[in-house]
Amino acid sequence: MEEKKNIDVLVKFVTKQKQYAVPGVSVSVPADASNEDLNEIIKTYICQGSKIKAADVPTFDFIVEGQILRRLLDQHLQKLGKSFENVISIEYFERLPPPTPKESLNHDDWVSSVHSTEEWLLTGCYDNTLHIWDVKNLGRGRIKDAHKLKIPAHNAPVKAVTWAKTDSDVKTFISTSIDQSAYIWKWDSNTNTVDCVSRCCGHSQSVECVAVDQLKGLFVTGSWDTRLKVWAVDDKKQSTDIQRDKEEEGENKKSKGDKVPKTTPLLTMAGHSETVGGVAWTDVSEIASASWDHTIRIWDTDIGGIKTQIAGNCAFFCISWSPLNKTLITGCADNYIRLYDPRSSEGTLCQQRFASHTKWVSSVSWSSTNQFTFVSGGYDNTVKQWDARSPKAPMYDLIGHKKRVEAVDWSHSKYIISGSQDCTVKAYTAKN
Amino acid sequence: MSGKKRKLPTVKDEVFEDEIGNDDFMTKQFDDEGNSDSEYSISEGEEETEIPEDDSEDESDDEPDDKSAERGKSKQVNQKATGSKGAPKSKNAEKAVYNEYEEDSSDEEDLRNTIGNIPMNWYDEYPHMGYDLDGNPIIKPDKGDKLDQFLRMLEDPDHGRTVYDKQTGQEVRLSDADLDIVRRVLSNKVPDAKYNMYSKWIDHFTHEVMDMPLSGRPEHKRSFIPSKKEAAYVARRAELIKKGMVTYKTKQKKKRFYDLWGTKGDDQIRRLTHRLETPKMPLPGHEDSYRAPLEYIKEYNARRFTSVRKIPQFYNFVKDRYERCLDLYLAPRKLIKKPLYKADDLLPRMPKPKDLRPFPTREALRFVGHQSVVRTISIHPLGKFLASGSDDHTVKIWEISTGRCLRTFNFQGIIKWVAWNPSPKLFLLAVVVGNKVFCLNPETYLTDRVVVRQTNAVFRVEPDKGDDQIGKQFERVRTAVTWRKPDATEWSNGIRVVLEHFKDVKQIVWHKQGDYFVTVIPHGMNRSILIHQLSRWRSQIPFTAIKARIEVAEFHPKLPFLYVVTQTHVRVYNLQKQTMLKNIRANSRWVSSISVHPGGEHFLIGTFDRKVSWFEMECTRKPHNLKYHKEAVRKVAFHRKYPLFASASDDGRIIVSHGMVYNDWITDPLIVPVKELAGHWFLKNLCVLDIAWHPYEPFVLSSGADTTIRLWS
Repeated sequence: MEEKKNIDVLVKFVTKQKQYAVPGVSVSVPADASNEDLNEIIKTYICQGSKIKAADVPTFDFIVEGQILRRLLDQHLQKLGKSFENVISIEYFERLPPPTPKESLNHDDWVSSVHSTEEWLLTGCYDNTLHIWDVKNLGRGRIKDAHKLKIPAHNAPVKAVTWAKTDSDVKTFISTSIDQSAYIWKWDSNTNTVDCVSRCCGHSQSVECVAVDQLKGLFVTGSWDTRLKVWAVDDKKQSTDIQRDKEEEGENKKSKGDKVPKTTPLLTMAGHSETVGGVAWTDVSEIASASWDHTIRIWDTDIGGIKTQIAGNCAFFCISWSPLNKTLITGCADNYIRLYDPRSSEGTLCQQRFASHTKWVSSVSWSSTNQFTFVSGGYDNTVKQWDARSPKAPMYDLIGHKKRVEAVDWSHSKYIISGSQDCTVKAYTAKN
Repeated sequence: MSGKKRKLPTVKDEVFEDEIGNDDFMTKQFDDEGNSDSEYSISEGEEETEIPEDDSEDESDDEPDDKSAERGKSKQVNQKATGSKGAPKSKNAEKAVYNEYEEDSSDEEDLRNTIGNIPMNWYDEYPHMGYDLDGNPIIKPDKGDKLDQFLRMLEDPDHGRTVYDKQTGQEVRLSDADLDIVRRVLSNKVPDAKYNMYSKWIDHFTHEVMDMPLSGRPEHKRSFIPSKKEAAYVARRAELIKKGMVTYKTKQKKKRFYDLWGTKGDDQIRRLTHRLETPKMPLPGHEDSYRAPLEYIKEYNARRFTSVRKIPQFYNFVKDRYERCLDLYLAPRKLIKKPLYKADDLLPRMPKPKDLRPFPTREALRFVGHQSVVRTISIHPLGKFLASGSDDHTVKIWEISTGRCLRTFNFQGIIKWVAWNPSPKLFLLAVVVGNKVFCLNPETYLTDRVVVRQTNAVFRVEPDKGDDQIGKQFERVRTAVTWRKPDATEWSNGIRVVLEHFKDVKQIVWHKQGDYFVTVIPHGMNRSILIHQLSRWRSQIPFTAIKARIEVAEFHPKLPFLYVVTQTHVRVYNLQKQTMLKNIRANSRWVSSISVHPGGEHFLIGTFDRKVSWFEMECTRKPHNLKYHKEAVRKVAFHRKYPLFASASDDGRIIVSHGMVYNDWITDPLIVPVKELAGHWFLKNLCVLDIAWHPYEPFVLSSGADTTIRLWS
């Protein structure tokens, strides 16, 4: 052990950030260098080569052999089983600043789902309502300004929400609920009026998740009844029959449901044996669904059947697809987050396993701008920001929720939004 | 004397002279000797007297060795004599050829006296002493009287080196060479002065093997061509061996001797394999000691004695020893073999819990909302909802995935038991409150609308109860239970039918098809088990003979059997044939709960005397008693899909065990406790009150006195 203390390793620093580039010479650094030591070294290098002042050099993170350096360099190499003798290429990049809590939005009941665009934030609540918030006014101490609209949408707790079309002033969004239906809404941001476009009937159990394909204008819902249904966002030939049987009428007294036209699914895909916990569009006509029956299935909407199946060994609660790196992450009942690559030949194998949550992982979300970072929320009341190259420890723990986190979202380039059972939605600023 | 002496050899000398003649060499030799003689006589005067003494000794000893030595001497003497005699003659014949045989004389030739090897004293009385070759007596030379001898001694300078030859009676003068030999022998040296004892050893025939062949002849052809004859012999032998016609008797060496004092392995030889060691006597302690050191005396409170005899232990020493010998001799001793295995070897090999995953390991969710002790829980067969009944008079329906309470129903009393209807066509929850059983439809959005509607439809109209409404049996049932349609408020609260019993109901068990259910009334005496049919609103009392207090009941998962558990027995009834199949003693004083394995061949019993027992239906083996709980066991439950079972106890722990059942009827079920789950708080000695397994996930849910329900995953 004592020998190791004196070992130096030859490393080569590379970076993709050109402003901080250093000459590509092999440098000898002590093997037990920590992140801070390497930072010192790289800082002196940068200052030597350019006019950047030492104070302006940011803190870096280092990628050694494909994984972010989170411990001492020799331990890291030992863990990965790499030799000390070769020249080690260390890639460094500017460390993401820690997310800072920005705003806490209070709701009347548990928040089940959040989704944001660059401008607007949509939240679904267990008191059957939907809320629209103005992202611009977050963090300015004016929550009343930020809250745009409260929509008493469903007859039962809302389970999932998503924005469908946000390109014009009239924006479309979809909400699903335990009341076995999904609603398509149109909201005019100028007049702040909302209109229920249609009610999607077909599921026989609570609709747990929803995902929208922007290109084709389709969305898919997954339900407790183990089925996936694909619907059109803009249904031209909306069914005009408004007749409803008396049973339902009695249940939906308070809602204005009888005026809402019903739509039927374009496609129903059955195959899962248990609850579908999460769905994601992975391609134009490809859906990935995560289910409690311990499988992830990739579906083809054109043919309406299963393409591939990834078998796990525990229930999957949620799924997220990154178009940047084309991989899936799922939250599992055994407290792990698992990363899958559906394209790879060994797609059934878990590529990475992220361990840090101490309870179920209820939601995961890839960053919309960074291909390596994602965020996860768990029943251990924490939201964690991860780098896909650092599977053993998250980059940051976002603490603040007092109860189980039900939903996280990182669609906004600046904010990590999380909704929890403590009736709050919290927004954290995070640079991507 | 000298004349005679000379005379005798002259005869011979002359003969020699004629034949061989003398040469210069000899003459010179003689001269040399003569010169050296004088020197010698001066230097070694002492020895001169000694030599005759030796001779006299030799004379007295008649040893043959001495004789031969004497003969050798005489031979030499003769040579000298001839030499001395021949010297003047050699002058005459100087040119004579060197005779190589001159010195090479044999004893036979030299010895003129031919009397043989007899003592010479035989001739003492005769004037002659033996005979020569011609047979003429050899006349003794005249020795003269003592005076003559003395005078001669004085005159003769060689007197000291003159010896008397017994054989011939002549006096012989020893040459220098002879004296040298004598001197060397006396000093224990090698007689031959020329012999080099330390000459260099020439190793003519070395022991070292030389590489060089002895001969340069090329090796013969047959030395490198394999012999056909031998090959044929080998083949023949091999064939015989193959056929088994050749058997080799390996000679076993008989060990003639054994190591008497050895310790290793020769007990057998000594026939001491099962020798019984005598029990060893305790070593004498300080109390047996004669004059123990003072420090020990203090310690052991012993006394010091003036003699060994006075030590009390030695009064009876002989007697004690004698009795011990008698004991050893008379008392039979027996060798008891202790088993070699350790205690651990007797235990079955348990797999490690981590190999038996999945099983619940930690708390994942907590369902908070009840105000009081949660007495009972039940999970909807589809695994989405959890119903719980509490002492706060409410029944709550929870969403399992999030821990959200979706609905709450209020009742007038403590909820004793809740049970979901297992049928997928009915969405019905049976709730036991006091002596009433409510069938509750939580309806609305919780499940498929069609199912909800169907369920409602079932209860909208009172069904036709058939024509068996009269009779004694009917009367007994009617007094025991009445079916009642709920009133409007009750209906709006979801209650679809109410059963009012004559006494408090403890438990309700649904049949798997969801039409029949059993209510257990512990104090109902012989009406403590009632079977109800939901579709026809009809009840019956199946068993009239049961007198014991019934604790719980359970349906067989596949067959129409009903397990009825009294305090001490488990009775299995075949409902179709209306017979009792089994009456199994539970080995316990008070059974609390029963759970039947989904395969139907095994069942678990939890008892208030802290045991969990695993029974086999066929009762071919002893039940496995699992005594890992420290307090009364409240509830046991099997998982429907995974080989898991759990037991909840008043010690606050839920113990999850792996219970693998094999289909081969031979292998014992593998029961491994894998996890101990603790977390519920105590409230007046109550902790975990009910447990239930998720229908398809390895999650166990538990309700406790701390008003919470927990999900362990």
